[in-house]
Amino acid sequence: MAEPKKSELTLESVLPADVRDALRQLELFARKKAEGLLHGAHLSRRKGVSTEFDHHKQYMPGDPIKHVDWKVSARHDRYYVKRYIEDTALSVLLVVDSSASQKQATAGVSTWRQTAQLTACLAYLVLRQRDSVGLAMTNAANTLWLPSSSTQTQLVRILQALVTARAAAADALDVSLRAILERVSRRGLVVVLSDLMFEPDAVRLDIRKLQARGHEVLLFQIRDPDVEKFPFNRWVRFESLERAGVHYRVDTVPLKRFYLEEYRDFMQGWKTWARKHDVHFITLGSDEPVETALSEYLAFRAGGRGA
Amino acid sequence: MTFVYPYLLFGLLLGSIPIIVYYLMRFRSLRIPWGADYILERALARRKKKIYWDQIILLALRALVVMALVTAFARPQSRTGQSQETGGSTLRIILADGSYSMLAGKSPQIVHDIAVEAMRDLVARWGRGEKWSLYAMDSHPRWVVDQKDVIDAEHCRAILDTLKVEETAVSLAAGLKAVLEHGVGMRREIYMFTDDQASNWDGVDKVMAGKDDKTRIFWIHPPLTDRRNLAVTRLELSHERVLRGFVFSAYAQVRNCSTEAVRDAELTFLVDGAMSGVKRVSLPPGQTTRVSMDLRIEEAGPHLVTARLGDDVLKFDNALSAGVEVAPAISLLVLRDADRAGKFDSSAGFLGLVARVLAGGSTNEAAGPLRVEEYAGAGCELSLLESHDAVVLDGGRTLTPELTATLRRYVERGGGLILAADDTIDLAAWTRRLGPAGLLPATPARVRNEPLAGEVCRRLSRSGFDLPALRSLETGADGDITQVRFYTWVECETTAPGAEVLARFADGSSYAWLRRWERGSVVLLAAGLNSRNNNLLMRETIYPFLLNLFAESAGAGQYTRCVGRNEPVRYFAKGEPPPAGAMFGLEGEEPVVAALIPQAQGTRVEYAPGSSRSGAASLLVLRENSQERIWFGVQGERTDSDLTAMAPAYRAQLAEKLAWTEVGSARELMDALEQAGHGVERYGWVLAAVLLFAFGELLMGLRFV
Repeated sequence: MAEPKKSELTLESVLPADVRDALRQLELFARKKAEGLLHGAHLSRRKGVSTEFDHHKQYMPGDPIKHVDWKVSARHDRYYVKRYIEDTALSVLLVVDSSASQKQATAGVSTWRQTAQLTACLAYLVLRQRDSVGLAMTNAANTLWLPSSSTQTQLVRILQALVTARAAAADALDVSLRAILERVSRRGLVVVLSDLMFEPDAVRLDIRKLQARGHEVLLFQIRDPDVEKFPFNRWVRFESLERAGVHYRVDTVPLKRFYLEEYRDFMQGWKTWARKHDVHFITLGSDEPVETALSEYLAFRAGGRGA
Repeated sequence: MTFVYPYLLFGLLLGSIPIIVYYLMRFRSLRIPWGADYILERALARRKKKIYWDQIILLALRALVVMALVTAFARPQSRTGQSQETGGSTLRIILADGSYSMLAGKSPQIVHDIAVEAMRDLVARWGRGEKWSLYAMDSHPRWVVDQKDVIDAEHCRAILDTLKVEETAVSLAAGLKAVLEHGVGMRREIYMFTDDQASNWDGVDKVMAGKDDKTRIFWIHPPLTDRRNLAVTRLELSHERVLRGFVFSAYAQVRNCSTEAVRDAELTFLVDGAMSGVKRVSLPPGQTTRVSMDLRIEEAGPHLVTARLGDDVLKFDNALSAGVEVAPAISLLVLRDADRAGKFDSSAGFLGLVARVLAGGSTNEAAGPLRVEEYAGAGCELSLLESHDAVVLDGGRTLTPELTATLRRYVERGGGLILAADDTIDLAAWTRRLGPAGLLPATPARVRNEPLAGEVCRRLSRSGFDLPALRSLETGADGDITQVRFYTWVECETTAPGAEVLARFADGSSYAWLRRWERGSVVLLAAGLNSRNNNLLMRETIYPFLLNLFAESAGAGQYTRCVGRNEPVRYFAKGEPPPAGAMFGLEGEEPVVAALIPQAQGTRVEYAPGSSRSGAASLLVLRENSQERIWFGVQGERTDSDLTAMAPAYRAQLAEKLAWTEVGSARELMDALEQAGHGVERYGWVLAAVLLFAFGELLMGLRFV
């Protein structure tokens, strides 16, 4: 049996065993109150069956008699019922940018590979704590939609989708986000994974709408070292990955300073926007280990739970 | 503005290289698949025009750097209006006078030094690639550099440092003629480094045909304020081999080379550098005098006699030297017949008496300067003859063919033969044997035999030759040389070619002849030394004369210690052990190896090239456990000691025709060139432009960092 190429994704390479072991001790909690169908480890915005008391409410016809707090009712000469905070399962939706720009690679390692590994890690993490996870993989030509599920077969489906997918066509992340707005009514965690190499306004607007619906949004940016450092010092013909036939022939020596200024402004724009709108913005180089970056972020996130 | 290499201006096309490289690099651009179009487009959209103009400026600066460099290599020059019309590059010609008079002046302002300094400053102004020539006028006028490219100033200076002043006069007319015929048609700058000596400039007015409008002449001649010059033109010694403690004479010839009279100039005679005597010399302009000095050396061996004048404007012609060999004693071998054993029959009796007298009355002749042996055998071995300094052949000695052949070989190998023709001479045998053998300086014709103490006799002359030994006899204390009388003598008729008369009788007839034959010499005395019929014993005053005569004869085999310029210097080294090596040295120069040529009686030490200039020279002969320095005087003709300036009218005529720029020093030459802006290179400005453009390009490049 032939060995797969380094650049090719396999089920094993997209979620290696050592990475799974590293993720075994990690947990992903919802920062906001979740809204799920099953009991889980996350706080639900609904009041229901639980042991954690929340507040009293004047009895209304139809309220279960078993929830009447007789001591309080006797003291106030009215009927009051107890309300409890209900725990629920977290619903996580992974929105993956599969546009052709993700094929950007340095030293043979593409941002798409890093994106796939990060997606697989997140899916594994969510399913291991028995929450549900869904996948939306999108580009201008094709969108793959895997509804949320907490079964273990969901991980296989997600990994299979990542392995078989090919980065192609232009960006269409805003389209996917709008589809989520239309299809998903329950609150959950929306994780966006992309290189963000597109006009940001439309995506930012959709993220704001998701937040307005009560979703928590995480934004993972996968960076390519060449794109970040622009290490060229001669004439270069840049051939667009997303638009066939489009190229730019430039002398990179005079351009370099301006390019890096643009890149710095671009990144600063995303960071500023994310901070302003309470979106966790995590950037990850395509040459950095996924599990390390993920564990650092989750540790940070666990420290600020409920904030 | 003109250019030394105008054809290099085609290289300005190289200014297109940066543009070609620009498009070549653009064409060969690296292909990179790129996903970050969004960032790239934003960077290009906002800066595209700025980058475009930056590229244009950078390309322009790079092109200018290349073009300015090309311009610098083409060597832009500022020219006078006249030169601008002629166009083309310039041939620079240096005419360097290497005659003796260039050594005039008081150190460190010797004319030659000032001229060389000016030449060195001049070539420093020239740049790589310029054409130049150098014509050296010395004993062998020649083109040292013939239209070569200047490599750099140091290279030119190294060539200039090889220029030397020689003891020679030069013809500036011939030199200038050669220079004016050199590079005809080109624009020329001729730099004449010569003095204004009238003899040098003779005939220059007739050789100016090659002077054209493209030729510019600079005459650099440091002025001379004092032109009074005395020169020692000759130094002779009465004998080159003298006896220790006996007086000999040195004759110095002095000439006043200036146009002013000189009074009481000091002429010093030195032996081995130590002063032996001083004479005062007063001379009218252009006159020559001969000054003699009696010298006596008490130490045997080779010595150096020098005549030196006090320093004047040309001090290099103020001294001459001559070498002399001082012998401790002379051994004579008298050849006589066995049957002439009487006290007065042969020279041996008289000479033995002389030897005893010179030894202070001692019977031990070895204590005196003269040692006499006699040999009366039939045959005679050559080795016997060569074991003595000189051989005296009595007139009565029977001459056999064998003896004649031996005597001839003896003389050929450097022996000194004294023929004492007394009244017993066999005229026919002498003429028959010695004549064909080349051993007779004069042919004996007849014998005169007058009665002893009679009226007819011959006396030695004091005026026929100037020997100190005879001159001292003039004093009353020593008596009168005229009392030395000869009552028998031989009258000789034909003097052999090359023979010279050493002494004469008072009536003018010859008494002593000298003929040099091969390496040796033969002295013929017209009267015998047997004192049978001559009153040689009357006065001891004849002894010094005879001893000097013997010394001269004994030194026949030695090579002369006074040579001319470029003549071989030779020395015959006798004794054991033979020389292991020899060096020839001339004062002020590095010694060189001399040749050793083994011969029958010793080794000939020789330095064939000789010395190229006058002065004291020496051969250092190295033996196994000792060394010996043999002094020589090198004397050349004083050909360029006259420092008379050319006549003002002649000078004005030349100045008008040659239109020269006349300067006196390096500084004045530089000032003249600066004022004319003549031949001043402007590539300094061009290089500054190169630097400026390169700096601008650097700054532009730094903007992108």
